[in-house]
Amino acid sequence: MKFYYFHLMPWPHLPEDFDTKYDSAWVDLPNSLYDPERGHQVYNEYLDELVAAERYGWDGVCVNEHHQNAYGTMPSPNIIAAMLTQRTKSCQIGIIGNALPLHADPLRVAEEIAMLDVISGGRIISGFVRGTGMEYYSYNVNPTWSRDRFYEAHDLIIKAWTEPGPFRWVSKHYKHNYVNIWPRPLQKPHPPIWLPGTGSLETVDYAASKRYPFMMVFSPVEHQRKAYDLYRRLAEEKYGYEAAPDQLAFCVPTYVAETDEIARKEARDAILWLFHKGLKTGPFGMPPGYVTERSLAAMMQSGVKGFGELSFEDLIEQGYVIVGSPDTVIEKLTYYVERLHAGIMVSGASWGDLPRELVAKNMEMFATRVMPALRG
Amino acid sequence: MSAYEELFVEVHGVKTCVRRAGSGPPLVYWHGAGGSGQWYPHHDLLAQHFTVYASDHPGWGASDTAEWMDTMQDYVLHYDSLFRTLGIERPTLVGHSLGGWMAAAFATTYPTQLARLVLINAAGFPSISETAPDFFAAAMRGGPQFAKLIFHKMEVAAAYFPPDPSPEVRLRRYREMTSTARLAWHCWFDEKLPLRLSRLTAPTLVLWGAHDGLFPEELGHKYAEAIPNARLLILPDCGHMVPYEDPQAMVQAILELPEAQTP
Repeated sequence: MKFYYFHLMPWPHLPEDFDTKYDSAWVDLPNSLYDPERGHQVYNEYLDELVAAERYGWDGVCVNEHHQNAYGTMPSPNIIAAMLTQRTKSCQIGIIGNALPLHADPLRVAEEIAMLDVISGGRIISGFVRGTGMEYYSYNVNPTWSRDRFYEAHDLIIKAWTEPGPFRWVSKHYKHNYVNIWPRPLQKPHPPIWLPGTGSLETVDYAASKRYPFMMVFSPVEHQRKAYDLYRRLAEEKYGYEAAPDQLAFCVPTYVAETDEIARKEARDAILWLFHKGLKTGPFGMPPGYVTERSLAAMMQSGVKGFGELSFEDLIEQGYVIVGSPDTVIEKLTYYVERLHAGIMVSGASWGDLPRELVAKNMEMFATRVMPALRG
Repeated sequence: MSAYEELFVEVHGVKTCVRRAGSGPPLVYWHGAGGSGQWYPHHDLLAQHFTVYASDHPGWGASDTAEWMDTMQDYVLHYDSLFRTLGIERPTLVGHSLGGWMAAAFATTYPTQLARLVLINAAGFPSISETAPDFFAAAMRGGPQFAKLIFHKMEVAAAYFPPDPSPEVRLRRYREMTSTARLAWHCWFDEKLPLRLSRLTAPTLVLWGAHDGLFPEELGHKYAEAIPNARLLILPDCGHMVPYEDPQAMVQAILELPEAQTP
């Protein structure tokens, strides 16, 4: 198994009355709640943490893009990645990912990733996402365009990276007379593409067709199993190859401590911060057209509860998170390896408003007590 | 409730459902973001005086979805073809809310093809209110807050907004909202519409429920000022949902409107 250290860079200083006063941590949560003076310290602590992850042996460090919210304060993940090219030495740097449909011009993404790849000596992983439903409100991008723009932007970026320019590009949403990016990326044929998602049939099929690693995010372990089974079956039956473990990634918040009891006690508030505050999306989660009617019907039938309805115990039992002693965590990760055939763990140590000393402890324990047992 | 027939008309490969009843001169009724998929009491009242054609827009009700239809012009041209197919000539065109914007767009494109134009709490007229609610967020939130935004008569709202909608209703609304978003996600108006409204020639009624949380009365006045010789009627006891809140007043006001002279 390979290990990637992921950071959302949340704004941890939400007010005491957040739960009762605000129905969303996104879109219309007043930005007066952000304090730039404290933000200076928060950003730099998070950056130090990502740098430390390389020292502790993580294979890569990961960042992502979110807008106008308290859940993740990286509107430009490429800026953070640029800093990481200078502050890390040899680990991979995953941007998982750039939210393609939100951007008027995918060429900018193609150019920035190419820059980062050249500067870092070919250490970039380029994730592509659609962006959350909330971000279609924040950026006023029509959510009914989301899938078309995602696929068009993907195709344009891959072609810009791999075919000699200049060339002309015409698709519904993007039209260019001169696609001719300078620099070109260093990795051949291009930086690896990852597709994070929540397991919709459309996304899993697309990832399997392109052989891109598919990453399940914040889902019950049973849903992760179904998505990976689907990926592996599509790979074999529809696309004629056997999916490898390094095509199946999972993003599961993890907390390790001396015993199960201590781990649960120390992790509880921070995990609930993530699922009950950070992922509180009010009316903004599912804008019209963001999902197909078929996907929505499947979601409604699956009976999955909203994050806000899940207790800390639900989150552990259903496998949204892994919390426990080193033995417990190793046992649960072994299930991912043996039963789910998943070979990439994207996690980290810093969740919600977890105090810095517990972040450091979680990180150290995971790296020294869990990771070695799963290195194959 | 009188008997109506359900016609399925294919226009440019898009199957469109039209419910028809009554006799007399033709009247076409265009629903808003909601209000599709069935024959309503306001259709029935109109059918006592007109041959009523109440259609489900493509993307709504029993009509096909055509994802490429994402501008008002797509709908205007679609309906021009549909009218030809059904042999509807010089109808009275009634549009509510999103359908009102559509009707205004149709009238500016084909000003001489209408006997009358009726715009009811219509979208489409430019407004830059800092405080206007975001329709889509409000609609997705749903519940009593949304009902209060669009209804003044809350006893009427109760019939249309059950507190716990079934999965079927939720899916139907998501489809309607998706079709609405194709047309109106970025904004609910067309900056060029006021200028184009000067092209209108048919007798026009601008009918407005006074307590509209989405499109305030002021927009009704602006519409009426921009349309040559338009008649403005404000209903003081209605909200956005005039056809549901006071269908009798709606029909009465339409009947009082003269027809255009035959050219």
